[in-house]
Amino acid sequence: MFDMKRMTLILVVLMMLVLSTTAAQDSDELMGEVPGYATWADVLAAVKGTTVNWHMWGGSDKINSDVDNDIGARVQELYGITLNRVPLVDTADVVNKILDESAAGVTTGSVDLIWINGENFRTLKDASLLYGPWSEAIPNAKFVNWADPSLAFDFGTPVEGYESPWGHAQFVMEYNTALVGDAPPKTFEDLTAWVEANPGLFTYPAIPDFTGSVFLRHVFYWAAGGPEPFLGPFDQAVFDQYAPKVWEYLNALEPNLWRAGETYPEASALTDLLANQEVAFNMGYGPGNAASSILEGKYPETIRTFVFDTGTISNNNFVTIPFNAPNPAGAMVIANFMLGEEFQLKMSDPALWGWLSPISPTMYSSDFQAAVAAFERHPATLSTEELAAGALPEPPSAWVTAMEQGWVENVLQK
Amino acid sequence: MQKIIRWIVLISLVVVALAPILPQFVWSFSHRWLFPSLLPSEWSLEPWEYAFSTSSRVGEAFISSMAIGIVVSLLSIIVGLPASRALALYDFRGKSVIEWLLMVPIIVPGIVATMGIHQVFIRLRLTDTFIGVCLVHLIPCIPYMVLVMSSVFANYGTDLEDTARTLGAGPVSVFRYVTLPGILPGLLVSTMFTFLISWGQYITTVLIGGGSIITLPMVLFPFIAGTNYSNAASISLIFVAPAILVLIFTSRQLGRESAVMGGFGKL
Repeated sequence: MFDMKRMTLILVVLMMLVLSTTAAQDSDELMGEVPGYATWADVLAAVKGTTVNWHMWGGSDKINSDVDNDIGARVQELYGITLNRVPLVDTADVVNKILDESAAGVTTGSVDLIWINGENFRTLKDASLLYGPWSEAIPNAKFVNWADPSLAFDFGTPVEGYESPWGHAQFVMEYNTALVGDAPPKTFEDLTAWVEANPGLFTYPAIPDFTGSVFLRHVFYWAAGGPEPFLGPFDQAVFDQYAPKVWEYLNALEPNLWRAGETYPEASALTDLLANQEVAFNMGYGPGNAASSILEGKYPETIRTFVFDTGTISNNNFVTIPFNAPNPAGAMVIANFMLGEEFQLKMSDPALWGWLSPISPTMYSSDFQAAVAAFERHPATLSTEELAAGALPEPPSAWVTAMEQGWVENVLQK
Repeated sequence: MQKIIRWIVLISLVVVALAPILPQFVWSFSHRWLFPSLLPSEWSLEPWEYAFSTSSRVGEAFISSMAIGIVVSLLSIIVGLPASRALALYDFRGKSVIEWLLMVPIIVPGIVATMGIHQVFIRLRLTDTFIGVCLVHLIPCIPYMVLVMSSVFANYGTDLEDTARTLGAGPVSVFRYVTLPGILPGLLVSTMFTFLISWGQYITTVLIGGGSIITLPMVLFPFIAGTNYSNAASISLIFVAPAILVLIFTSRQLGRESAVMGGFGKL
């Protein structure tokens, strides 16, 4: 009845199991709970030989190849995950797909991971269509400073463990030194003076374009003397207090804009206008865009960047996992890999990705910090310190919507 | 005289179709091409190297676009041939309503119809499948098939079929030896048009295929939207290759069989 040998064997096996799991947890362990998995070892065990469908904007051959080589090939080697990168024209396409699937009651969809931020994240989170919370629990979340408002909030929407950061973005102005010289207008007063002296060489993208919208937010911050009035919940009285100054400023600028302000270009068209020297300025969220565009041949060599003296808005690129992802474990492993030292180093390298990292370099090893310090910066890219010194937060999306509508009514239609 | 006019039409068709592709060709070899330069200041093979790399996914997308196009063309024939024959040769109650309904997919924006169909397809478990994508492509394809074929049938008399039948031919023989030879040039042209409609579908494929099915427009359109002209050019040349082949083929048919253009004339 009482089989001593068998009992001993079971005990030994149990001991070994306990030992092996604790050994694995020494290096990588979950820092909290994630739905469906007890330990990080369970997650890793579940991903071998699986595929992760990552839906992401696909308009850059460089980003496409970089993701395949520096993420796809590496997670294949390290974890046996096949990355299926699905290129999108617009992230809203995949958000609609998830909404449709939810309406039809599909519990196992086909999307595992989405490159996302802002409005698209808010739509999915408000509708409770995300897997999680998970992003504060994955092992490499220990590098993320969740107390930083730009990481804890995504356009005012609390992240709360439903998306994981992977790259940092900050608004910069791009200008052509051949037309502007070496001293670009770094305040809104100087900008007006420059535009009046050089009519037709400045414009901004038509709102509600993503880039035009962030330019408008900078004018609001300038009118209010800083971002503070717009960081809380939307308040019509506060909006009405500052909005007239913004409309007055932009309407005064209008007659001297490109094509006398009769029309405003799309953001992609403004990039072409700068490239072809029809205007002297462009703008956007990529501090490294000017440098990579010069290297790719899209920009002339004379393009440089600057930030306003009063600072510029910064935000983060996140990845999120839909509620019906067939492979949330694989998606988490990839998100975790993207926060690791190996990938963040490649991403920060101006010769490889040339992005900003959402993680402070001091969180990583001294080797990492030495490598980052040794990077050679392209002359068109500002230093990380100069950018970080003027980084401003995004307002909650309700403010963004009100500003955009206000612009259409008070500037476009005036 | 008629021969000369035919050649003029043929040549102008080719010029009109090919001229816009020339700048694409230059773009696909350019590294730096900024206003006001007439030609790129720096040349590069990179757009083509990218197009043929695994990262671009152009190869696999080409194969699935081709497979979907062929299946959709065959399905369009099965559905469209009887419908167009009935519309062209018979009068029946509600004919104009049916003609109008067939036009609806051309008039209504594809995205509107597809959003509703997406819900239905989810319940039928057709999303993220090859056959689901083929079926959704049928919606914009069938009107073109029916339009072209009903004008072919309108020019086609049934007298020969009747003659064959009085001589003892069965329905299969009538179709094979009388109907098919009569409509074959028109059928080839409309099938190729159907193929091209399927070939160019973007939003329907994105919604129904959901990333499990990657077609050529899905790898091409992000570059156009992202103003990445060199990469867009190399992939779009691969994208238009079948269209040019179809044009050449159609022109040859046009040169030989004016009956086809007779059909188009009625559109």
